[in-house]
Amino acid sequence: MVSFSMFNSAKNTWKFHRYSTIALIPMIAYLFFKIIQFSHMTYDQILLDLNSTWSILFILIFTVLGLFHMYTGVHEIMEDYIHDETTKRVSEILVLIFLGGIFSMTCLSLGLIILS
Amino acid sequence: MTNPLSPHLQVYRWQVTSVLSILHRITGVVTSLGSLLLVFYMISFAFSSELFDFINFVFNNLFGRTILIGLTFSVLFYFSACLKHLFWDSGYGLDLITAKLTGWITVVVSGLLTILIWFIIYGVI
Repeated sequence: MVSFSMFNSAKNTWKFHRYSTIALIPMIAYLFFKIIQFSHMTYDQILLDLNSTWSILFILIFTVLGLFHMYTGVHEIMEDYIHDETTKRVSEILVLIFLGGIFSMTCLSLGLIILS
Repeated sequence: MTNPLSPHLQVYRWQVTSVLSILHRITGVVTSLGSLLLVFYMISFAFSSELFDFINFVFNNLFGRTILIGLTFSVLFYFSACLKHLFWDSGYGLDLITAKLTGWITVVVSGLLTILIWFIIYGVI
């Protein structure tokens, strides 16, 4: 079965899903605050804001936590609704590709922002 | 013969608690897919101001704005429902009346916050 070893037990998956929720709720509030702030700023001002250590750290932590949260959530849905093992494996691989793509693109954009 | 899968939706009487539970899962998936949009925004921003302006232009119409506003509601509803689940997991609010009430609160709060956020973005407030 394709899965992270730490999520092999349903209890661990459940616990991580809840812990990540606790961490993500204030982060989501902060993200909306920044989006509102950015909507009234120029491109250069946003670039300056994003090019700070705090912003880069926030984006990285938020992305990693968000991706694990998504993984555990989708994993739970698949366990409930997909009963064929092959379909489940293929779906899990597709989900991992999707999440890996998001992580790679986030890292790429952060790299470009740092270099700018 | 194909057996019906739980929770037997074709014979189940719809209730606010079950509808919101299904909506929680749907908004979770929509939010996950919507994160792709956020990443596209970030990538376009990181590449150049021209590309970022282009992405903004693409979403600056009724269809684009509807997607963004819908996504805002989806994220807010998902995390409000997550918060409710945290209370349930701690053993609070599990009786039927409280469960129905908190369910409606998550819908109203997410709706109001969505309106508030977009009013601030458009400079109405």
